[in-house]
Amino acid sequence: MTISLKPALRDIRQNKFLNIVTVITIALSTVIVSSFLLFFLNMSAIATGWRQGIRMMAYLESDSGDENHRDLQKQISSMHGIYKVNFVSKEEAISRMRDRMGRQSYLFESIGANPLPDAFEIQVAPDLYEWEEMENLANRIASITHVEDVEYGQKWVGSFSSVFNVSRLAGYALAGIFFMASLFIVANTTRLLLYSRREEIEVIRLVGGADGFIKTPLYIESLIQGATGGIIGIGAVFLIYVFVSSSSMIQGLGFGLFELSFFSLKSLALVLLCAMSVGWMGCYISIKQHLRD
Amino acid sequence: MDKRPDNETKDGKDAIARLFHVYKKIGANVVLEDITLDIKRNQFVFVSGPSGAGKTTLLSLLYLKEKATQGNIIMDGQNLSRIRHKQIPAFRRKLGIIFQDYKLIATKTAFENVSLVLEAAGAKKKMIHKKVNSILRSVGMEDKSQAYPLSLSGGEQQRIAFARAVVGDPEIIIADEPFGSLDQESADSILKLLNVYHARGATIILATHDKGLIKKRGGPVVFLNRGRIQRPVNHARGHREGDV
Repeated sequence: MTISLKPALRDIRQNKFLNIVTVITIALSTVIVSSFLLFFLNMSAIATGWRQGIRMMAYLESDSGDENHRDLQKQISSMHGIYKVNFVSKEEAISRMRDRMGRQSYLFESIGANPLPDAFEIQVAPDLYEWEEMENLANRIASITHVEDVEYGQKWVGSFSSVFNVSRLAGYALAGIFFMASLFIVANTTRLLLYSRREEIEVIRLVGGADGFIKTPLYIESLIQGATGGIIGIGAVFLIYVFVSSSSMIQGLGFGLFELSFFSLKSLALVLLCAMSVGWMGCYISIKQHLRD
Repeated sequence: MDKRPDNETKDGKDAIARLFHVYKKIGANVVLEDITLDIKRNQFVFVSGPSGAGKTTLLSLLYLKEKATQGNIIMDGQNLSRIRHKQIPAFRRKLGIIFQDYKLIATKTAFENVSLVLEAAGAKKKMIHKKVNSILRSVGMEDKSQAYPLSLSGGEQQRIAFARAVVGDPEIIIADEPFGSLDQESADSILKLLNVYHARGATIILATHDKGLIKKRGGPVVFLNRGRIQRPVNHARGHREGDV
């Protein structure tokens, strides 16, 4: 191993330009793919946070009758995906409204009878992940006798989810394309490296060097390139993350108390491993073609 | 050495290299034609002939840089037409090759060029250090061990190439025009070194077009012309006429 590490490090020193090109390529790919990954990680966390806070309001018909409220509450509570159901009488509803309107609450004085219906305030279980399930739940509640209408204010979260899912797919596709592109570039730089060393490789073979003796330093070199590119890429993404999370633009987007998060150590190790495997695979492809004979 | 079929070594028992009706074609061009010969263990054999006669090609068949188009070559009991790709490195480690153009790696120092053979053989670092320094000393290049080939003269490069060829204690030394571009003094010093290794038991196969050198050194000669063995020649030094 040490006998292979030394020539690998020497080759890196001797072929600085090609190695720098390879490292930059891997670093750029790491930046692009990791940025996408970090974006989706945070968007996913935001979406999950929003979903957890989703409430539905089931408005009852005016003739629903007080005696039915308990049964209706039980019926709704027993449904899958319901976390909590509270009855909100029309009196409580108008009182809440008055509180919310503050100084404008005098407007209610001109209204005679309370126009608001009795309702159930329904808190959806956090594990109800798919937005379609949320819609189905709302439809099932709406079909219960005496329930006139169901509203869930954050309907736009559903639209967001759809857009998010589509863009996540696009992200995967882009990550795949960048992976292939960097693999192609790394394979080509390794090929150039092998080409520049073709005479040396021929001599090594002629003096009895086995393929492993030629390949091992190259593989070590590619892993070093991958790790260096990966570390530089992760470092750049971290700087971008620090810049974005502290910028006033993000604070003003209204994410509330939500804080943008960076990769966990496990994810960082995975990104690094991917960068190293890009280096290794690029090297493998070139070696397979170049040392075929 | 015997030229076959008329005068093969008896059942080839003492032969280290045996060629049976070997042909080498490159495209439509026949470079070697019907080469049959035995080279005995511990012989110092010259392969001679004019430029383009096929000397380099014949040697390259012996160290498997090229494969024969037809015929069989048996080197130290190993049939080269049946050798597997994985066996080639181990086979080549039995040989010491001195190339016409030296083939020194420009990015490696003299020491590294020589140590490459032992590294490829998986030798220990300490042993490599000891042996390479000893070989460089024996060829008078110890003080230039950290020099790069391009900073050395032709004679010095050839001595490094020689050191690389012998550092692995090969049974057979194959030298392709080792004196080609050397002055008389350098050529003599390389020839002396080859004689030393021959005296220690190595088989030497040396390609040269220098008839003066062959006469001076003496020994069996394989004379090639247009890819064919022309005639058996033997120059003194205890070899009977007809051995070649």
